[in-house]
Amino acid sequence: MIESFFEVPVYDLPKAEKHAMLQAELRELTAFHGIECEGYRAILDAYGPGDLPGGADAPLIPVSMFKLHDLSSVPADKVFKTMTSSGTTGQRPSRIFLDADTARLQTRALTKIMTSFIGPKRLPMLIIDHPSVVKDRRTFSARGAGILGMMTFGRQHVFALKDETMELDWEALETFAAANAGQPIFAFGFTFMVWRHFIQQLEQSGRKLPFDNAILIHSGGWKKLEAEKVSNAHFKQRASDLAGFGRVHNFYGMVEQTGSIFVECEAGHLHAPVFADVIIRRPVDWSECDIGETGVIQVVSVLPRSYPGHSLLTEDQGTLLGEDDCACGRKGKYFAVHGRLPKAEIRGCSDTFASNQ
Amino acid sequence: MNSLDKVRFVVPEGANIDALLAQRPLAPFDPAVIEFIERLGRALMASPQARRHPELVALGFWARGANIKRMKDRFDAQYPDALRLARGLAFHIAPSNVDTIFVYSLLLSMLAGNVNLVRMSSRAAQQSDLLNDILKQVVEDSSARLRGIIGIVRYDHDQSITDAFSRHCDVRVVWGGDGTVELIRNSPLSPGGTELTFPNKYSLAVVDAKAWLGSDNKAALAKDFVNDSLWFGQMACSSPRALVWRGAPADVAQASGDFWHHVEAAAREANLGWEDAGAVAKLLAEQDNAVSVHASVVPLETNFISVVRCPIALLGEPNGTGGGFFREFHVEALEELGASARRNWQTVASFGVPKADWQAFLLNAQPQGIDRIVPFGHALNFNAIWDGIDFLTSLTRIVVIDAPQG
Repeated sequence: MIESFFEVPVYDLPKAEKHAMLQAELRELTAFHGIECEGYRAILDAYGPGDLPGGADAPLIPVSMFKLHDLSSVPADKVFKTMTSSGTTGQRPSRIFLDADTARLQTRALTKIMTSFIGPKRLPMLIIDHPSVVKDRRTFSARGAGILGMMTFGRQHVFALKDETMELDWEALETFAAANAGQPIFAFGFTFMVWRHFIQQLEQSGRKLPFDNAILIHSGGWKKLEAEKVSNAHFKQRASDLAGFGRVHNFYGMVEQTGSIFVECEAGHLHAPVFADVIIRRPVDWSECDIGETGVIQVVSVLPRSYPGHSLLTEDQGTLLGEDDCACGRKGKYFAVHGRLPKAEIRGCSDTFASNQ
Repeated sequence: MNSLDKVRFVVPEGANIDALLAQRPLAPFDPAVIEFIERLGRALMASPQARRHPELVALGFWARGANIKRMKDRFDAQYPDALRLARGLAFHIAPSNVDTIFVYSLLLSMLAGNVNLVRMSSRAAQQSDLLNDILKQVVEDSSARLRGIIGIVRYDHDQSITDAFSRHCDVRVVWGGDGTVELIRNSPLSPGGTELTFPNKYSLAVVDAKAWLGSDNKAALAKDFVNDSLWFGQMACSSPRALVWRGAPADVAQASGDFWHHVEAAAREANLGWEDAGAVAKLLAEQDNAVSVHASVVPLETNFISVVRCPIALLGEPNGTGGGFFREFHVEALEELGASARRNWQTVASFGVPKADWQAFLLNAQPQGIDRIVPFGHALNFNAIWDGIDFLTSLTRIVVIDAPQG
């Protein structure tokens, strides 16, 4: 019963109860998608009974399956929105089919999660990006969709960057700061945008922003920052020193399981909300890792009703840090993401020389 | 020839492109070349890093004097009444990753007496690659005579340069797969020029079900199969990507489960190039096949290998991923392979199928492809007859002299 997930606190359900609720719902979803989605049925049928990777209740589907096949459990006329991932060059992007119900559920889930971190009131919001990223609804990128989704939680939205040049819009920033002097504000942006085009520009300008009691929410992966040797601690330090962000929360999520947002708590750990969970798998045989053991991240969620995205194997490496006992006081599993699984370069005597031009 | 100014020598240092293009070839099996190859072999065998790579050890072993003598004797005996001469200038397009197969072809071209102009991609030239490094060093340490007949160059993609070299050469040797061959063919050869090309290849295994079931050598066979397929992340042109069972359905059903159980155990033990991302890629390939063609997945203890059972229509299609991913098929008789075998089929690693059966199949069905049939464990061994080409013969020319002894 999906409603039961909204009737309990988002981070306060003890594990025995949560596991029971989640497992039952996931099992139902597997059965449902097995009937309604032809492709998913073919996957279930391909494995012998007892051989489904990740178990029969919630078998593992690699996220990239949504790049290779259109997997939908609703007829075309019921598709309310199609989400796409940012595909790398040469790769088809993922296509995720949402009906009205699933889209609504995801908004409700996001609201529960976000308000638990930023409070129930809509705060004045600074978007660390430029306005055109959300303008053209036809060419909706994952970045645009992410920003639009977060804009629900703020008001008096102001964009920190002018345009594609990524220059800071000082006028807008000063006006925003003045209008909200002494008041809490919240800011959202993608991690590399926040670092490269906001924090670093502030650094170079020698100026600071006078925000006080400000919350920064950011997402999008640390890969580019790791390449520049910027740690989470350093990122937070500069965000605090230069712009007064006393609270910084990263979150981990993916378009293939929208609504599964794992937010970083005050102790620096990513938390599973009540509608979702994380399991770390050993790549050698897909068995479950122990706490503290690094493996491949599996994410499960009870929200995907219109497409079989309720149990996905990501291409990310992570470690489960604990369950129900995080220093921040929240219950549920908490974990760390280490980045993409490393991939070696392909060698072989039939390299495509032509494409290397 | 102004554009040739853009050509940079990787080795020998200080070499001159015009001098290389004007250089006269040597006679086949020139002592300077034999000495060079032996020295290269010794350098490989002496290097502790090289010794960690079986394919480099194999190359080092191949390069020894006794083997070269054997090749020379065979070469001399082929056309006892004619004279063998080099073709002249050989223009080689190296693959992006300079690998051993390419180096064999270069060495054979040198043994043929040709002057060799090798184009390496900028990426390969910059790669700190063991084989590359050793090869360069051995060339630099060689006599002027030897250094005169080899030039390894690089230049940014410029069709006018490739055109000039192609028009000038007597034989062009193109590695790097379909895309490269098509690209290089934009540059015409001279009317007398000829070409050896190495497009994308597909390799597989064929096993007789009854023979497998009756074998008392399963562990060793499984180990050989793992060596054939899991080196180089299953990405070598000779790596089997598919397994075709020959036999009656009941025998095949029994043999298949048993075979893969043995191979999985051998793969786990060998632990060749395990990659976490590879396990995810294989899972993806399993499910992709499930959705696309209703393939079934063979249950195995670990993800060291992954196997899907597919309809025969998929035989010959690229797998989409390596690292130990196999498509399994079934035929009742070899003849059924005839229609599936495309021109790009290279190596068949075979067990339980007698030579006579293969010969009958090849002669009757006249399949478009299949270059070599080898036993398990031999798929990756280089042979001077490769991809249906006898290198030494293709890289030389035969001169008939009909004149009195005098």
